[in-house]
Amino acid sequence: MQNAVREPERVDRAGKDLCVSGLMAGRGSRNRFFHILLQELKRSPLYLILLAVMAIMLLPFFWTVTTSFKTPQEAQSYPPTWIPKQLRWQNYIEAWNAAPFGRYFLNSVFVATATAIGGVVTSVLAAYAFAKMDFIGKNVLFYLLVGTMMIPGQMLLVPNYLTIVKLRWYDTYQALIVPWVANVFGIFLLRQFFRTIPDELWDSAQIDGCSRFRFLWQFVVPLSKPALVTLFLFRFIGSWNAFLWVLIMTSREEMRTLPVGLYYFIGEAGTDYHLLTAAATFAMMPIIFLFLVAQRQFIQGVARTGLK
Amino acid sequence: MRRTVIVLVLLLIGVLALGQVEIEFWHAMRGGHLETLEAITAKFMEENPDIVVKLVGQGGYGDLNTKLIAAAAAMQPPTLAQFYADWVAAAYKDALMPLDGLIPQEVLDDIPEKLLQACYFDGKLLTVPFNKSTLILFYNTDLVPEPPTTWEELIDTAKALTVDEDGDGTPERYGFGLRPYAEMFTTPFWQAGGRFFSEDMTESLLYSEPGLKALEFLLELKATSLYQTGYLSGPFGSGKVAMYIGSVAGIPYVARAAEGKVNWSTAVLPKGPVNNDSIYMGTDIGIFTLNTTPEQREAALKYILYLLSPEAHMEWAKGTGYIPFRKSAITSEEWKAYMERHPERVAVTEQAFHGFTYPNHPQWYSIRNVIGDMLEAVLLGDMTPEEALQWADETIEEEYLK
Repeated sequence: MQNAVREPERVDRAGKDLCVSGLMAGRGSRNRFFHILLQELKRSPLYLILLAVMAIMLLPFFWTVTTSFKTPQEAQSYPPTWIPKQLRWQNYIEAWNAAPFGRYFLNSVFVATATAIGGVVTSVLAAYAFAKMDFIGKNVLFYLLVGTMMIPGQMLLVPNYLTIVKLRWYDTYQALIVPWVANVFGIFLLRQFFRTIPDELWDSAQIDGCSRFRFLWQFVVPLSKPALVTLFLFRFIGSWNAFLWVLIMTSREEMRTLPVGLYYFIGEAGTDYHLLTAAATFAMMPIIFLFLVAQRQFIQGVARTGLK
Repeated sequence: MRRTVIVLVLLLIGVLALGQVEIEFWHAMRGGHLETLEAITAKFMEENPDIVVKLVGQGGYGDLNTKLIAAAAAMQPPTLAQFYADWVAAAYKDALMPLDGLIPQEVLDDIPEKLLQACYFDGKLLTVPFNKSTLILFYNTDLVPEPPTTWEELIDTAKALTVDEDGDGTPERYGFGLRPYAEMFTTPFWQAGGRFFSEDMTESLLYSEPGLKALEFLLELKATSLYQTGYLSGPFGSGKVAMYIGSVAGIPYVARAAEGKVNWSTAVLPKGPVNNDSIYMGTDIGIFTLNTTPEQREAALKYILYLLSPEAHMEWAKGTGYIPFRKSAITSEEWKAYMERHPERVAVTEQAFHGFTYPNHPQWYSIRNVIGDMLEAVLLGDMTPEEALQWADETIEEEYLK
């Protein structure tokens, strides 16, 4: 991933270097063209590897989408087939009607959006304090926070359930959103990013009479767009895929989200793959759309914070 | 006039709603199973307008268990839930309503004794069987005209049907399909006369004559088997595998995979040295005393009795493929007519009365995992049967029995 991300940069740099050396030597554009061609050829093994990795990454998606068009027989056939012999669009209708997916979709979109927005806001505030402000016990507090990431979620499930029940939040949207609005990973991610913003900026803003809060929203936030978009996507996808939490904290059909719906097709002695893959395909559409829209920012965010 | 009617209707609904008892049933049913449960429940509510049964799906069994633990800890469990026997033994022995004396004796006498044994905890009847399945032999009728009835016949038939025409060492067709999971060992172990624990549950007795016999049988079978961890309905349906032993819950999947390709049927399990019993799999249903009113418990009992009634029970077995376990139901004309239309259910019905259950040990889930690991180690050749059985006994005793 990281290689793929960094690649355009390197091409640019190499191109510029070539350009400069070409001009200095006073040679013609034909020569320059061959230089670039040579450079590209040298890099071709890398491209081949990248293509192969891409194929491996795409294979499950390919299989999911093609299986979603197979007949029930073909989806279970042995050995499995790659391309459906006939397209069975009906799978999508059957899958959609198997559970209240319209409602699940609405819930998923609402819960994921609220969680992601809330998560970004709280992370921005906390990360700014950790990155740019000095206070007693800052590091201890930060490491304590990061330390909580090591507690497995399953361990907290029962105590969390008790808390939710005591708050009378069981079976409500609050239960699905509020506990996920604060998150350590987001604070950590943004803190790393905020630290790359030079302190001199704050110094000069201060001279102009800028308050901390205004500095945060008018300078730090706009400068950190890639990291914020990345965090938003992470939080959105995390919430979109959440299964156990939703299952445990709700009982009513109207409160449940897409992953719970996908479970409908997994039976005790087998799985209805033709329907499961159809449902999985329409369930992942919004995520793919969101990623395509935010792709550029997302890649920058990942590359600049050193995440993999 | 219209307004008066509306007011009257609203009043009526209000009065009805006041007298209604609502009970929640937490389950792990999905797909066709859930549809059948919904249909039966709707009929129950029609006959009992004062009771509302809310069916709440809680995902898979693991998820249901997690949620039950959390809910019981919060003192907010549902009125009814599905339970595996080891869950009850581990956590709910004091939270469930004893059903002794509440379920009529003639109903209890109508259910196979072994199946009911797993519902007793410290001598109290805490649950009743709900969705039960057994293992069964699936066989390709194009290749196997008469199903094997003993272990020896099964091995001979499997050997004869394994074909490697091009001689590359990988057969084009296998006589048998073998998927390694604990029940693949425990069933032949029981069929050879094995018992899991000593009476006081302090000793594990896998390393024994029956244990060795079962493993040797499986090793011999494996030599002519397609050995894979995935479900076998696919390879069986395409004719790649001539026979396999699997859960009756797999029938709809086999039917789908085999459609238009191979003819098939089911048979009772081939007999081992002692019997041809199958493990009884699946869950039971029980009523919580915690956080429920006497009215709710009474309504829940009514619902359970309805589920056990021959009519609802037959509808359940037909719709889901789970085994019918009431003697009066399977001897009825209705069930006989049903079997005529569904010949694959004849063997299922017979097998339903030849089964055994696991000991009600709170750690059974983990113990079962040890047995599964032991079986895999033997089938993959990592351990000899003696080594594996001794290892399993030691592990089980040290970690779970002492």
